[in-house]
Amino acid sequence: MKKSTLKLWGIPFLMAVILLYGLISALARDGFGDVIACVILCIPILTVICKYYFGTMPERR
Amino acid sequence: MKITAAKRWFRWHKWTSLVCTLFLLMLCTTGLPLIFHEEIDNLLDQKEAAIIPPGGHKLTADSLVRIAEALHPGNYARYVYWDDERPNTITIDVADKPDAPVSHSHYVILNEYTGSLLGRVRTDGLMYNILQLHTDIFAGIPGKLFLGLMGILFLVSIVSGVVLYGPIMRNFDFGVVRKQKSRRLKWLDTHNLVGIVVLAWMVVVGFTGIINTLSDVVLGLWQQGQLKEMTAPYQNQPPLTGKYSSLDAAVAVAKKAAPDMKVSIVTYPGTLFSSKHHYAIFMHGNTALTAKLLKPVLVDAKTGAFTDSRSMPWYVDALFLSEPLHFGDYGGMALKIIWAVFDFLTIVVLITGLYLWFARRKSERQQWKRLEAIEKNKTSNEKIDA
Repeated sequence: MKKSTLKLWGIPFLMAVILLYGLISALARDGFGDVIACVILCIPILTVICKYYFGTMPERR
Repeated sequence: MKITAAKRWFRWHKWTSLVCTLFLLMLCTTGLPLIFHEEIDNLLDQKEAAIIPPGGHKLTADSLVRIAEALHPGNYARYVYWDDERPNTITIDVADKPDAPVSHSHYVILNEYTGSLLGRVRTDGLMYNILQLHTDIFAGIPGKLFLGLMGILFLVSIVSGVVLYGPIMRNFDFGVVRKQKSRRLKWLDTHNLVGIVVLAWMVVVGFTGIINTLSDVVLGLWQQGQLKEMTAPYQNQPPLTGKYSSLDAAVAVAKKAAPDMKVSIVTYPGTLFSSKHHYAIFMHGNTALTAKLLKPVLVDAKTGAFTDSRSMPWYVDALFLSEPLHFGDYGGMALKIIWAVFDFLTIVVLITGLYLWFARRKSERQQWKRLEAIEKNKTSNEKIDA
């Protein structure tokens, strides 16, 4: 049960944490902090692109 | 999750999304150019840079205000501000009355050294109209509040969508997109993948958007609350007549009252952001965060004396922080591009969602037809048997 919850919600939760951290740290910091925030915010975008274009096909069940 | 509960959540997801989708599509498409409004404004409306004459000195704000008022006889200054992006310039809004609507505004940008006119801030251009459509669909405060309601529906549809993500994705790995099976499955998987990844951004921009629709409510609360308290001794005084005290002196008083802060904007007596008797000088901090927050310093516009200065109440600060978080204009060009990509991905979620609703209706209709055909066959077979 625990394992399947992690499998289902692990990455979505991670994405939300990454996004919130990036959005808020960009607001609270200037200069180098902005650069780090932007790099962090690219992770969800790259995830969508990778999963959509290069995602593995689902196994036949 | 039980199937009945899932169905209930699905109905919530379907109806809240259906009601708000068209408005959200409008908000996302108008929001896209608004992210880059500064760049587009500069491109559409070239303004001269201020040239400093050799050995020149800055003119006083008072004399610059007189120059601006002379450009539009019968109009008087009501807002004065210094734009950090445009050094050595001053922007002055002159209008026929301090509380006149924005359409009466004449924004002039002057060189602080020579007083020459460098350009105007337009309130009839393309970007301004896009902004109006985005904030209130050209319907004033009711339009704003209506869009706020659409924002609330958007948040409900996000929450119900997250609840549905569980049962739908339980048997699949994260981010599976079944492209080979059918178009409906491909779009469903795209909807789920993009929706769950961009979730936090949509919540932040949706929520701050709702707060922004309450800006007039927040302004009203501040006027009736803190501003009224600060100007209580002036409540029964007659309105100001004659010349106001010096603007330069008022700014100097404000700088003394808030020594670590910079002047953001000065609002004149009788405007929405001040009392009938005061210059309100709004100061901002120097760090990334405090630069977004304003602190008013009230200066008597007759005597030029300091009246009061307080930090803004929490609901005004919440509004000030919501603005950058909604528009994404707080972290330079890179953040703006990221904002545009997230905006585009939200459009993808909206359109795939709309398509899924159409496709589902179609397949439901076909299913009913199939069932009816089976029923018909059955009855005709029974007749033949009989």
